[in-house]
Amino acid sequence: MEDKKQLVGTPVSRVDGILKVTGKADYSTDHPVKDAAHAVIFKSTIAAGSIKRIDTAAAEKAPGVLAVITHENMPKLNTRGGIRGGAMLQGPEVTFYGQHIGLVVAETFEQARHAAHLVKVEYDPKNARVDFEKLASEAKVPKDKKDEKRGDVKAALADATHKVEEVYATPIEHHHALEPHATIAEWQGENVILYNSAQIVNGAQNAAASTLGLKPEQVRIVSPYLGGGFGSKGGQWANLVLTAVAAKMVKRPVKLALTRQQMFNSVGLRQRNFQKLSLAATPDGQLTALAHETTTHAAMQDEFVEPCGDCSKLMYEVPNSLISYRVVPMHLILPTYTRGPGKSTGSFALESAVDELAYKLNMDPIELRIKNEPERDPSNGKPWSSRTTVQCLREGAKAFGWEKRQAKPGENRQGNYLVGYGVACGTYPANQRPSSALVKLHRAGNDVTATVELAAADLGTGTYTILAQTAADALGVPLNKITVRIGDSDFPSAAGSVGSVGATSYANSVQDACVKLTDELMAKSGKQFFVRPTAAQLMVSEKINDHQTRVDSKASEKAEEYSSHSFNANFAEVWVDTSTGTVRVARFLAATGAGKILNPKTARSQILGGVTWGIGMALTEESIVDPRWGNFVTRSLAEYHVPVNLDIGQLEVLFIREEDTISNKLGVKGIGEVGIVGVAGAVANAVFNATGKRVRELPITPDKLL
Amino acid sequence: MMEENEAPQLTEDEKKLFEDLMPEDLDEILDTGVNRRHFLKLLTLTGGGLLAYQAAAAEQVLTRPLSLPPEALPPSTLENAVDLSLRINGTSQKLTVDSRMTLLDTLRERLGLTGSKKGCDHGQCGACTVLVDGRRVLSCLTLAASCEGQSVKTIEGIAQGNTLHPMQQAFLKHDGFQCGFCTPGQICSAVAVLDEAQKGEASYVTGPVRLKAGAKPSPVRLSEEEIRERMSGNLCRCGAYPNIVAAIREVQSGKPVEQTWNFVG
Repeated sequence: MEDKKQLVGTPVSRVDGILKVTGKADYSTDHPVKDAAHAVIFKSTIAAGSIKRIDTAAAEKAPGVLAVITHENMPKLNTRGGIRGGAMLQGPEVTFYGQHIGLVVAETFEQARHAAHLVKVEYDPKNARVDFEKLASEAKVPKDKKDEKRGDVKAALADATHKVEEVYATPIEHHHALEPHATIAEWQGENVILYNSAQIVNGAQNAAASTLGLKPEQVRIVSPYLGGGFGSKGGQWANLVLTAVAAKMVKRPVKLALTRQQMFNSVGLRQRNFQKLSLAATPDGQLTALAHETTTHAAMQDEFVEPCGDCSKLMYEVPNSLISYRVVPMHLILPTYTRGPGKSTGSFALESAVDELAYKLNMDPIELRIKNEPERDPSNGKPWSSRTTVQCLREGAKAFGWEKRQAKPGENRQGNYLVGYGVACGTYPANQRPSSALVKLHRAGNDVTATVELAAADLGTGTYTILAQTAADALGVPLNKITVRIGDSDFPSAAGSVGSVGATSYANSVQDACVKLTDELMAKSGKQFFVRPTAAQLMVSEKINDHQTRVDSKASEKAEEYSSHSFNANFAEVWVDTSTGTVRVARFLAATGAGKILNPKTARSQILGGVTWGIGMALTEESIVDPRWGNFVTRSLAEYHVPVNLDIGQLEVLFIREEDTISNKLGVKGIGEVGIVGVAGAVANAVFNATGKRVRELPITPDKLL
Repeated sequence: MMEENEAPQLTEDEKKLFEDLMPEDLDEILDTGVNRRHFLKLLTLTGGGLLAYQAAAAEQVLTRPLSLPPEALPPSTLENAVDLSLRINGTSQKLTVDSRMTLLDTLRERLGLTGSKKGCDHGQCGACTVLVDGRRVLSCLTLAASCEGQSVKTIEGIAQGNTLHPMQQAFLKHDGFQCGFCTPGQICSAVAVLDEAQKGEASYVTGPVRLKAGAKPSPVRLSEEEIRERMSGNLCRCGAYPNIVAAIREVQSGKPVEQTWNFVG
């Protein structure tokens, strides 16, 4: 039956929006847990060495203090249980500046904060390895990233008449979700409830359980709303288990929120990268070689390497290619996934180099890209489930007014400003991960209501809304009669909202559950139907009061035979103030092919967010390590500059209409990550077009242009 | 330490709403607050569903009070205690606070008003913005003890009964948020911005502001640039800025602002 009122694909306002505009959405520390004590963490003031003596006497005597926890009285935990970044007070060793070395638990926050200042620490410091510029030459092949070679890059580069060989540098960045990482832990006998933001609800449950020596069913994660995450709440960090331990020790619920300053060295970061990009081409612009060699840093004990070469593997047809990584351990917190991991930073290097090559070839950068469009995924030979790069470039250029670009740099002067246009492409993989969903129907008279439950996450992405839309269409139940319940490990297990797999995995599982439920009701009725009825109609016609069903969904085998990605093309217009060197992105257009758009309103917001992040990456965001002590000199939002409202100009969003049902049944490709990919490249290329200055080190601050 | 909460927890508007719709339940509501049964009845009376919101979400909004009586704390938890009386969302509150306690922590930890958020605790992000005597302040930089006799409005008190404030409606319509953590501060700030512009208060991007002697400033027209500048103290890491600007423009102008996205291919 054709339903004329399809909700999927329409710009429904967020179903959880009313809670968010009235202040009633409960984030981690908003849950009304009775009698909670307050914990405050204190941190190391050296980057390497060990704690010689820790004097907690004064803190323990301070009013209201219930416990002071350090490595001396901390229970042994399983440090390989899945909590990232160490810092779980398991010994006196210090491996980065700002490592957690203890916490105070007190009746009130004020008392805990005061007492934390009374703790005296003596250290045995060691030489700290914190100067990446000096250490980069020591970098080695990472454990899980071998060099990927195709053809002979060296020979192709040596033979080429037109080539680019440059190093592009990107700084340490922090996620800085507006909600700092925070937890309330409440024990009930041997079981613990952890109110804690988690992009991967079941992952947080398993990591906490394994680290604390519990069974997963003893740990419940409650995370209905996340105040942002951007990768930092994908894995979980020490604060989660420290809160659980503290609550057990003081035999009361405990609330622990990291401070904004502590967010700099508690929950991972985006690593600093040196990316050497080599491109070679024939005089008519056919690429002959591409090498993308990344050098970066990791923590002393653990390794994490952002995959900067991912875009370079598959954006262009090139017979000779090399993707490599080198990593050096440093006394810094473990890096982790950060929005568009690898692709956002990697595309800055790749797309800057492509732009440089276009200038050397005297070609339009759009035409150079289209000339090297691959028919299949060059990294594995698989056919594309769909690829929209050319459409993104063509349609984006038309909508942006690319034809008005003056190819020669420095020619477009408007008063005190130099104006420039830039373009850059991006991509991000589209994957469906295993997810389960439970759908329940209830009938009262002719009124049918539905509840959808799964341990999914909504970190502002719109999960609640797209699942309500999906279920409404699939069940024939009106939107306002559907309740979506997510963010609780008591619900059926689900994929994380990470790596742009959330919408695809969740929506397909809810769809599957609704179809199965309808099939079951049809079978139950024992009738034959010429036109497939909706589940809501069946509940009424068969006078069924309650029915529920659960499915476990996963990607089809066919999907594995194809290469599935979202693609985009980004267009920036920048105005550079010739007196001050400040850059303003006056206008930005993102053209995106991301499969079926379930809700254009929330999808557009995701793209706006990615572009805003990309503009921050391009122009302002940078964390600086003091090479003497290993601390960040950028230690608050006054020094680490995330974009503010006035930093953002006119943003336009264009979607390429596509139905890619090879990738997954609903044809959803995910949109959260791809939005940032290519943005910094487009801005940097526009700055070159405006000024003739090629800035290869982000962020593009005024000092680099004057 | 005993503390009193003299006034009923419902605002006058809410009282009127329940008086009109559910007179027989009013006594119970005034006594114990709105519970699930009242909520379901209200849903039926208002036509089976509050707009197209999730039933669960609407219930959560309506069955929570605008402010809670402060929780009494054991004496050991208070140092340099300060007695304080102030109005919160229209209700008089008397409580005793630690002299170090900020207005933000008082709202969140003592009065159960967790709508105001702690994003940085240093006045750098704006998530804690509330209105004190009608002006926006950063509640994390405001000591509770300095609010004696003042009137505080938080995000929980911005709506009129169960009718959302136009700014709340505009944020919903324009998707002026994603994760929603900065939203209470954004909305409080936006409401104050309209008032500041009406009073002719200049911003960094306002044109010539010199006045003739004795002249009153005329209202500032809020261009996009003005809105962006005036809202730049409220960070949104999800990047909803263009939508926030659209929402504020719509409320100030009273004319619908178009939302734009395009499909091609």
